[in-house]
Amino acid sequence: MKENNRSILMRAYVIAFLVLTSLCWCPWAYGFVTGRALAIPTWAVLAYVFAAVLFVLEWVFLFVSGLAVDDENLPRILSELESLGTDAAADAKEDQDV
Amino acid sequence: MFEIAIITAICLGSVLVSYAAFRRGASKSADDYFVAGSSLGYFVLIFSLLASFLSAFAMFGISGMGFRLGFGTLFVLTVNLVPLGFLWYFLHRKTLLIGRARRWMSMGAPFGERYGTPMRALIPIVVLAASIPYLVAQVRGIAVITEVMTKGQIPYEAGLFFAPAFVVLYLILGGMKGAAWVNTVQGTFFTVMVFILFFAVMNENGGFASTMKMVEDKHPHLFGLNLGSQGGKMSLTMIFGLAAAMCLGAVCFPQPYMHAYSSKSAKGFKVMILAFGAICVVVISMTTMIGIAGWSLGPDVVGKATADLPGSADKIYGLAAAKTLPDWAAALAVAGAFTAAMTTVIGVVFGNASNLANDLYKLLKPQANPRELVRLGRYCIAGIMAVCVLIALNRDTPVAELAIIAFGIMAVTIFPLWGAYFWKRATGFGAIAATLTGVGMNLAFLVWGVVAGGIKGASDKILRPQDDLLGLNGFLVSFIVAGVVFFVGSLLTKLGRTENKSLGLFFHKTLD
Repeated sequence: MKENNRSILMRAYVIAFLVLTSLCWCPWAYGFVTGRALAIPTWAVLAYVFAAVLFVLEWVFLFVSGLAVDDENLPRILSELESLGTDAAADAKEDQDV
Repeated sequence: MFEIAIITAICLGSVLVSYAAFRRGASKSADDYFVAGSSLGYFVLIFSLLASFLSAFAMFGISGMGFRLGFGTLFVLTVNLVPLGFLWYFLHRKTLLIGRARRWMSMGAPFGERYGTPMRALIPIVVLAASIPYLVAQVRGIAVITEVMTKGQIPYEAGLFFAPAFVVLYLILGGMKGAAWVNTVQGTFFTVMVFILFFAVMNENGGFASTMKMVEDKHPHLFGLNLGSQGGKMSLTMIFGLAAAMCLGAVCFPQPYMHAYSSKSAKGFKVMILAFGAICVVVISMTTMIGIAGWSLGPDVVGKATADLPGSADKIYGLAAAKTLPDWAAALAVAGAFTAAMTTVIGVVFGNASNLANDLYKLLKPQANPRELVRLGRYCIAGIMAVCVLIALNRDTPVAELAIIAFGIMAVTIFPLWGAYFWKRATGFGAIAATLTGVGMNLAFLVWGVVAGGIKGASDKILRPQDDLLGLNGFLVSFIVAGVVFFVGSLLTKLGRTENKSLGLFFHKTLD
């Protein structure tokens, strides 16, 4: 994925995440809705709907979008980070020596 | 007798599970003991994290809130936790990656590497101070449940020592791996029991829809908010304050750090953080609705839960179980809350023990070897539990309110955490000043509230909107001020040697 597209996509996810989080933390946009649906308040159903949309969005972001860290890249990232300092290696060796 | 057998079986079973983890070599080194050698798969991670967060409060407290406040309670531990899938990923992705690379084993490690020694020392102290009341609430909950379940055969004072003794034993034996497996087994158990009780309660009056209709006809305010003419008790500001405190506090407790370090794979980490909110929505919605449906269970249940005693609404979970299930099944349902309290104790005690050993002790004695750290971690587990049991001996300790406030106190560390991973200009001074300001303001509001109206006044001051705080609650004011102090404090100070040195690691291009 091109760096520019990746950056735009990331911003879109963050904006969607912020909007949906605000809706899951407070029914500011739908708390005034009265009536019942599925035997519970309509605003509570809407809260579940926003939570469900957010859950799907999170799932897509984490497992489909290619933006999140995955196990294919994990060894390379860890190897690069481990090579940065000798302290960690020394600690690890000390740990294994117990 | 059956009830004593259940409790004993849960405790002994937990020790056996932990011992099995120990036999499989879980505690050979500090890395193994504190972070399970980064070997946990996603099923264990999901239920371990879930169980370590969901306490007896998630069952008794939330069903009691549902009973008193109605559907607004859905914003305390259900839909408001779904954003954790993103929040945990953004804030703990680097915890996973750098933590694995640097062999971090405690919550103070990222703060120490990024901001220096003072911050590394401050974090375990703040976490411990916030955790103790939370732990005391769980220990007391365990003792109360044990006393009620056994009809006084195991009195409160004996219950205080009984279950915590087992917790100490299996934590000392099995370390993080043992704790995770015990959490998984107990978490599965209490989840199943919530499902059973939910269906039993709804079945009592002919199904979910008819039960809700019965409640709505008599108590329509439970279906509304404190908005317009709905007549509910929860205002938007109150909902936002509770939702944000619980969600942001969850990011900052030791459990997500310890589970990130313990994850075997990136997939396990992602599944864990995604599933957490979804499972909470399902399980805690059920406990909320069990509380709301309590109004449909007749005067014998409603009368006992509305008695004019502090916390009497919290009895609704046990009363609903007694009313709708056979005696043995009701005992198992209440035992679910017992295991929920135990697993929370496990998660929080272990996180704190790890912080004290790997952060504070290692600062005092940098050459401490892993064997020494493991030994000290075990002493810390026993010591923390002993302190909590001693405090809980006083039945009047107002810990339930303090337990909720603990989340608010923990939440102020989110700014230093965010700054460590995302803001190159963040400094140790800004981080320390923000943490001390946020914690200090929360404590000041606590004292102010106690002086004004006792422990209820303290709870109101921190959690409910206050006119003298511009309509915000004390938590939100502390949180906002801590954030401002963090940014201003960082911008006014220069990066020191540690901060400059840390940038190469925390902002390495491979982490982009």
